[in-house]
Amino acid sequence: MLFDRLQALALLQLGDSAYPAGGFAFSWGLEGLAADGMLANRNELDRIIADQLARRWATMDRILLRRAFYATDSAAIAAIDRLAEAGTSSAEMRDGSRRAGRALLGVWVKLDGPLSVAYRQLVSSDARLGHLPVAQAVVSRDADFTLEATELMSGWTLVTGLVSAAVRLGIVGHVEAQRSQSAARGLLAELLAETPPPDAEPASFTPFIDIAIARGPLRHVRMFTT
Amino acid sequence: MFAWPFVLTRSFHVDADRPGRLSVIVQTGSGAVHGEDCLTQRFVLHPGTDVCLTNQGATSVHRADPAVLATETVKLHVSSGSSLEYLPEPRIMFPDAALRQCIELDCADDASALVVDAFTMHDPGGHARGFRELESVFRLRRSVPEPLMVDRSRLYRPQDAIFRGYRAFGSAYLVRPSPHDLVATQAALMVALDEISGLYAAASVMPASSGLGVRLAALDLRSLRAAVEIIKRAHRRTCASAAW
Repeated sequence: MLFDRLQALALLQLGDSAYPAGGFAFSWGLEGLAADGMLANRNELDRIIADQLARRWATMDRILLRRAFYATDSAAIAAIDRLAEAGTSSAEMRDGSRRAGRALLGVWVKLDGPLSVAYRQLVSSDARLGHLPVAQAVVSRDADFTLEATELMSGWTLVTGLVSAAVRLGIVGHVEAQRSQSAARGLLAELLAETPPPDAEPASFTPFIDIAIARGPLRHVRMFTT
Repeated sequence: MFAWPFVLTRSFHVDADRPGRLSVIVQTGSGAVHGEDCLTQRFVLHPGTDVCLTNQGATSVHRADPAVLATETVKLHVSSGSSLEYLPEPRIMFPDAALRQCIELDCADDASALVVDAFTMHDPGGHARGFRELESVFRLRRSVPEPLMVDRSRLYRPQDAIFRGYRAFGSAYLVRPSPHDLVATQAALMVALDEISGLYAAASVMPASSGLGVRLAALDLRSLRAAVEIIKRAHRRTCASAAW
């Protein structure tokens, strides 16, 4: 495969944890698991990142993202977005996914991405729409990404978001964070090497993460939305 | 109508708190789910019916040959003004078992339902060998064809480490006629579930505010059953307080 410098640079830009789409507001369960005594060190962090990647992102988010990437128009994208809504049982997870997706879409509306602008109109009129993997597919189409680049950006921003949250929660230091990212990089590459079957339905099995996120409203003090 | 392996005998009125509720126990002659079983159940509750539906006990799911798996589909239709509790005992997944199951709930807007789906794992040889595959789908429809909720979990050759020492997992879905009492029920449930030793659980509002979904992870079946009992009581309380 030829090295496409422009696409690689665009990936670095969108995959940057400083990208102005509010990614810093989400810990995707890490904060809750730490509060419940289920996350205290790097080994446990690596296990949770692996859970998120292998048993949620690869089997659910990636499937939705691929469908939205190939959807013919905004109405077809909205149908996939509604499936994301119906397929996410926890209100806190749905809310987080929509907030993250809408923030990303909002950046690309300001950057005049044509599909982002068109799809944002639908999202504004339907509270169920705007889930993160669907928004990632939409903005990636505006950025002229390939599907492979889109999947890579989606998986990698999850990893950087989780590791960044772990650092801010004081679970790992900066050097250990790099070790966790390296381990996650290997797993993500393995997952991306396998193409999901065309008829794959979105599914997940992350009970501990689901529970930790849904227990959010019980907590008196929180740093993160999820 | 019923056919092998399912058996229906007489049903009972056993609930003192609601004498009109019918308790129905679906029994299975085979006593377990085997490798190539293809099972289907369909229940229709006519308007104004109040039913608690369960089975004879925890169902073992035995090994399947590598190229096959067992399937089970349960279709539940709950008509206007009805109330259903679907409370099958947990599955017991044996080594190399493979099962795909789907619960389809079509619930009228003014009806209520409680559906529980749970599993545990067991290796009779004591070697912690795992099952091969488990896919479990809960699909909820209410008066429109597009599902309001599709909760699909899937595990393929899971390593024991992902269960963190917990041995029983489940989900419960409390489908309510209106969303007005959801937040109060959610808060009460969370407090009650927190008191069960060996349980990690949370309740959350389901899509379209159609009810509450509860995720359960338990160190053993006893803790999981205790949680289901609390959820059942919460469901019955909300049914009793509803204006119908």
